[in-house]
Amino acid sequence: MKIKIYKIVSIVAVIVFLLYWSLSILWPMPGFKYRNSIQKKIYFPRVLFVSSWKLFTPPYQHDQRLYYIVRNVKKSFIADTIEILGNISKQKQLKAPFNQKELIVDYLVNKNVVHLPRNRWGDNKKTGKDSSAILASAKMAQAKEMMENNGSYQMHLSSLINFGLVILKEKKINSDGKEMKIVIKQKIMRPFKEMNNTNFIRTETTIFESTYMPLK
Amino acid sequence: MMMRFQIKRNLNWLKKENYKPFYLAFLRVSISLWFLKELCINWSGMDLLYGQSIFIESEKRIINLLSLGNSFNFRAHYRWLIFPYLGVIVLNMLGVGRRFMAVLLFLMVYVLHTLNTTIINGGDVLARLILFYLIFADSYRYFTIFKQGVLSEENKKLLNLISNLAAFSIMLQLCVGYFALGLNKLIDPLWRSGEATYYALMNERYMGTAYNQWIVQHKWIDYCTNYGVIAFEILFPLFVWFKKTRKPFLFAGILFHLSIYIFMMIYGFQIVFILIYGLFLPNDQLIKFAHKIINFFGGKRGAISRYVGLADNPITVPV
Repeated sequence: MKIKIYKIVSIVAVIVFLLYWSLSILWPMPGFKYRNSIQKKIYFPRVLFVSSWKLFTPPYQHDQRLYYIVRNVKKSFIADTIEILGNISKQKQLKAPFNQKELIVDYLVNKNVVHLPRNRWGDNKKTGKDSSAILASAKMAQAKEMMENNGSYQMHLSSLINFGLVILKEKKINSDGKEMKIVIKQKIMRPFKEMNNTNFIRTETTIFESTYMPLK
Repeated sequence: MMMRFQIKRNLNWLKKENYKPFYLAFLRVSISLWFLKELCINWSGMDLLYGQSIFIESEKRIINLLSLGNSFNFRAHYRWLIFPYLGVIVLNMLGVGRRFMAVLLFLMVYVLHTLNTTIINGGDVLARLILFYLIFADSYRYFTIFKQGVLSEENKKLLNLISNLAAFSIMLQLCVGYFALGLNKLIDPLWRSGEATYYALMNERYMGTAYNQWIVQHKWIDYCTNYGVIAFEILFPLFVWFKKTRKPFLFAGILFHLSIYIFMMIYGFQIVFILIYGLFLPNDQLIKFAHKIINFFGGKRGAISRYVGLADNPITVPV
C-alpha cells in the first residue's frame, strides 16, 4: 500500500513537472497570444513565470530627458527648469561600480518616465495613428479622460510629482505659491549610419507634457 | 509497451540518486548570499525603497495587507519585515529549518518585490524562481550545520526524483531565458541589421565606461558583438547539454555576462545567470574542486569543512 502511494506521488510529480514546463516554455516566447488573457484571470503566473525576456529588444535609439518646470502662480513668466535624467546617468557612470544609490534612483525614476507616455498615448497606437500628429491635434480631451480613468497612468504621474517635490527640496526651491509641470523628451542618438558624423545634432522631441499642477 | 518501458526506465534513473547534491547546496548558499549582498548594498537606500522616503506609488493591496488593513503605517515600520528577512536568509544559508525556511524566504522575497516593482529586473525574477525550485530540491546534504537523518529507501527515491526535477528546472529556466531572448532579438529589425549593440552601448543610462563610445565606433566590433550575442543566446540551450561543447559555451557565457557587467552597469543580473552554470557540471568534478579549495584553506578538520560536509564524502583527492 505504502509503495503504491509512493508510485502515485512520483507519477504526479512528473506530470506536474511536464505541465509546468510546457507552459513555461510557451510563456515567454514571442507570439504567445494567450499570456495577457491568462494573467488577467489568474494571479499565480506572475509569481512563477517570467512574462518576457526582452532585454534591449529593441534597444532605445534615444536617451530620455525629464524636465520639471516650476513657475510662480502670480508671476508666471518667472520659471525654473530642472533636467534630471542626464545628470543621474552621468553620476551613475562616474561612481561605477560603487553606484548603488544612483542605480536605485535611476530605476525608480526611469521606470515611470518610460511608462507614463506609453499609458497616455497607448490607445493611439492601436488605431495606427501618428502620435506626433495627435500631440498637436485636439485629442487632448481623450488624453484627459484617460488621465482621470487610467490607474497606471495616475500611479506613474504621482510618482514623478513626488520625485519632483524631493528635487525641489534638495535644490532648496521654495514651493509656496508655485505650480509645476512635467515634460518628457527623447534626445535622439547619433544613428549607426552616421556614427562618424561629428556635426550630427542630437535633437529633442517632446513625447509627454503635463499641465501645470499647483504645489501644496 | 516500448514507451511504457522507456518511461519506467527514465523514472528509475531519476529516482536512483540525486545527481546534483553538491551544487544544489552551493546554489542555496550562494543565492542566499546574493540576496544578502543586495540587502547590504541597498541598506543606505532602504528607506527610499520601502520606507517613508519612497516617492513612487506602489500596489495598494500589498501595503494594506502588511498594514493589517491600515491599522498601522507599514512604511514607517518596514524594518519589521527587513530584520526577519535578514534572519531567514542566514538560516537558509546554514540549512536550518530546511524547506520551511526555503518557503519563508521565497514568500518574503516575493513580498519585497511586490512592495517596489520599479527596481525589479530579470535577475531578481530569476533569483526568485531559483528560490522556488530550491524548495523542492534536496540541497541539504552539504553546507548545513545539522546533518540529515537516515531516510527510508522509498522516501529517498521520491526525494531524489523531486530533487532531480528541481535541478533540471533551474537549468531549463536558464535555457528558456536565453532562447527567448535570442528569438526576440532574431525577429527585431535592429538586431537583424547588426546595429543593436551600437545603440545599447551608446545609451546614456547604460554607458558603463568612457570606452563604450570608442568601442562602438568600430563597425566590425558592432557586427561581431551583435550577431555573436544572438548566436550565443540561440545556441547555448542546445549545446550546453553536450560534454564536448559545454565548457566553451559556459566560458563564452561568463565572458558575455562580464561584458554586460562592466560596459553596461547591470550588476546583480549577471551574477545570478553565472551562478546557475555550475549545475551543468558533473557532481564529482565539483566535489574534487571543493576538496582542493578546502585543503588550500585549512584542511578537512576545520569548522568550514564540517559545514561544507566534505568530510563525510567518500571521494578522496590526493593533496
